Amino acid sequence: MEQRENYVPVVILGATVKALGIASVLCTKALILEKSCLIGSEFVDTFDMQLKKQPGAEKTELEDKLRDREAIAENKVLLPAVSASLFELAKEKNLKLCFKTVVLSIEKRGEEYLVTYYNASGISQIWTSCIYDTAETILGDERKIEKKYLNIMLSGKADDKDRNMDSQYVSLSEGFYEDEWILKMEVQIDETWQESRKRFFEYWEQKKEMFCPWKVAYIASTFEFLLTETQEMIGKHWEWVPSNTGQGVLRAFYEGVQIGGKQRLLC
Amino acid sequence: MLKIYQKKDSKSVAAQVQETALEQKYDVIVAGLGSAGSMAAIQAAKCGMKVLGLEFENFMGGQSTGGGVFIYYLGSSGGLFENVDERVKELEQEGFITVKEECAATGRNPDVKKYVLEQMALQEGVHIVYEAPVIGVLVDGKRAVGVQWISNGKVHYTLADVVIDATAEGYLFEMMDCKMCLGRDARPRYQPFSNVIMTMQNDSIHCNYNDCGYMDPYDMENISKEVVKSNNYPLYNRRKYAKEERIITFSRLIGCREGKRIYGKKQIRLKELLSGTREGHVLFYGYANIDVHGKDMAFESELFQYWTVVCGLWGIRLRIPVPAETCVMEEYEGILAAGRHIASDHDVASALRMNRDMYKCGEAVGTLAACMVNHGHMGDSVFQEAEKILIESGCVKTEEVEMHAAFFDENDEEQFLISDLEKIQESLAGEKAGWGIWSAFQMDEEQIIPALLQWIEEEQYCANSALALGMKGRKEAAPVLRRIAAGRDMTFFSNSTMYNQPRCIAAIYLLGKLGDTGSISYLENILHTPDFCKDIEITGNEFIEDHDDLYFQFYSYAMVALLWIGQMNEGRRTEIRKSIKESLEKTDIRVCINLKGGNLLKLDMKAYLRKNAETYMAKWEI
Repeated sequence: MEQRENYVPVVILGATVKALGIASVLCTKALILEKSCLIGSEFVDTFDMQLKKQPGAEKTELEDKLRDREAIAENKVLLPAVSASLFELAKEKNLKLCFKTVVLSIEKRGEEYLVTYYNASGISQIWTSCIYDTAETILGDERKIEKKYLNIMLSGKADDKDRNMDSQYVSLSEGFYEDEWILKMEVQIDETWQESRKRFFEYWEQKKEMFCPWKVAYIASTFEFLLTETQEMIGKHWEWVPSNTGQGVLRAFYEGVQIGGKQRLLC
Repeated sequence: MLKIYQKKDSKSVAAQVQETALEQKYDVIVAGLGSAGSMAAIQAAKCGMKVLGLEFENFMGGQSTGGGVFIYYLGSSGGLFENVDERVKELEQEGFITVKEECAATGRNPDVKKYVLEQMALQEGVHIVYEAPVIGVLVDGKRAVGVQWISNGKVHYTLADVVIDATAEGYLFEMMDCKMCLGRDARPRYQPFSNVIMTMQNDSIHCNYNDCGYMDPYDMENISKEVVKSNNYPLYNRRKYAKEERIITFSRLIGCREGKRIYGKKQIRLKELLSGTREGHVLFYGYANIDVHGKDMAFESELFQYWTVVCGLWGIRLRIPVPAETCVMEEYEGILAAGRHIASDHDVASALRMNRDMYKCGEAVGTLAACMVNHGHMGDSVFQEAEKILIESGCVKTEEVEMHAAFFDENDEEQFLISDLEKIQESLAGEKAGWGIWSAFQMDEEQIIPALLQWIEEEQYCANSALALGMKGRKEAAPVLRRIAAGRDMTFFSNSTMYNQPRCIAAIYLLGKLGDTGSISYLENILHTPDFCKDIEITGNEFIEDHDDLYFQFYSYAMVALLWIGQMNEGRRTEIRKSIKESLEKTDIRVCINLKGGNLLKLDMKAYLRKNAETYMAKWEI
């Protein structure tokens, strides 16, 4: 079949875990556009390591890679290993990724879409027959968001702490290691990064007695979201399928593989 | 008529703008709130400006915070960033892990710094918009008057009296199709990049920024491939994860060390810098060594070779006066550069990119922008007012302004130029002979040549006198240089504590510069003998970690020397071309380097060497 310049059968928005699942089936038939230079940031960069589904229930290449690295333990996954496994998969399958890229517009033209995006090469355009948007927001639109969280990785000994938080907006969960904790702070949906960071710093300053001698290891640089819906058709062959629907990394990848399998039949 | 300049498919394009699309006007727009941009925005606002700060990412501070390079390496103290650091230090005590101190390098917690920068900016009234890339520049005639940017899918056209391009790569200047200064002519053009990860070790945060190869920061396809490739290196793609050295996060930025630089009204060049010439209205002073990360020094400039390779002065710290005119272009008014893309040559660019210096650059350019707005033009009065403000803030120190020959470290007397012949002679026999050689090179020929020709006859001064004579282009040095090269003299000067070349490599380079046909067979032998240096004991340092590194130095310098000799001796070109070509084609000759960082990541250099050789030899055909 003749190759068209500036055309790819499938464009995937966000280098999410689900996106890598889709692309792992479609390989070079898909182009992933990602605003950061990370893969799976909706889990890795929010410290979301919980596995809601039992590992092995829907086995995938990702799970194999994680098991090779001994990165799965008690329904939790070691997040740096998730990143490594996905990058390994991207290399093995020669996936087409475009990092630090922002989508400027998507226009329907006949049976195809014209996607305009910006990155270090400037403004570029690509034609596609199908779009999967795997981000939590639909081109920045936050209407599907029910709750939004800023997560913080804490470091401290387990026996130091009473895990009952005195605020309904804050919760604490165990990290991968015994001295690692994830503080989840709910923020307003329309809150900016500067407002959310301020909220946390003020909270932390007031709570220092309670958390002493724990320390903040790192503040997530991606928000975690609870969504009202987990799928929507935006247009014909343009589907919103957010990656992190609260079911964990393995499930997200599995769902991506399923989508990729169906799409492969159409490509 | 107002035009919008954008970069489309790697080319600058211009289109007209509807006046109705224009939004409110700011005094100053800062595009990019990284190390320089964050300071520029805060400082301009402190000076009373109405400032809009636009940032692609969701934090301030760039490489020095979310980019993971949060430790300080050189740069000089003083100025606005010290106030930021003081506040960060206070907050760090409130339950944040601190930065692991290594090799006397200190740093501050990146999360706390993001917050402090943000709060300072907001307190000064800066309007911060994150996840807002600038995608176009508004231009009226020959004046930049605003930017086109996007946020949450909405396109904005915002006007300003002054636009500051603080993108580090000069993206806005590129959009306007301004003439830019690239890396060096040889490929790869830019310094190696790093893929930065942050780890936690013993309750402190540590950044790991090993070199990962080369990329073109203006080609996203190339960048993306390198990001995937580097993340598959063992440091990132681990088979086992140790709790004791756990990765806590990955950098959101690509660790580029070098991009294009603007052609300013003035340009900082190594030649003038090392000769102590000061030009223009100095805005601030940088302070670092010529910190190249690549091991392919053979393709750097001649002056770089003399300074770093022949004299072994890589680690010598330079005080770099940065004129205001390096942030301003001839082609367009209304736009300033803040960051490592200010006007300098490739050599100086390696030294003018440290965190502290970039903070200072931002503070200085933010001040300059405010003075420009207040005065309504660019002129002496603007520079004078900016200088006054910067001295008051401590960004510029009065002693720096008054310092004579201030381009060397004033704390180390040994590093000053030697003007006395006897002392030069003494230096040539010592362990820090590099400084004596450099001083001899700087001296008038009439004074130094007779002395060197005399000293070359005396054993203790012979080798280093030959290097000095070679730099002066004197063929009398050739026999001694051949002896140094053939003896594989592994003497390292101790002027620089690292990144030194052995004396034999310096000799090979100079033999090439002298066009010495007598060394052709020796140089060709290097290219055809993969075991050439296998018997040399490697002491192991950051620059020459193993025999691969050492052989690459021999190989690349022998190749460059042969190219020079061929350039100067037309009758020998056929033989040289054949020898280089055959060596590069031999599959049993492996030429690779270890990327800097101690992880023994091997990078095959043959394609790179072939490209350089072919490019150079193509000139012989004309």
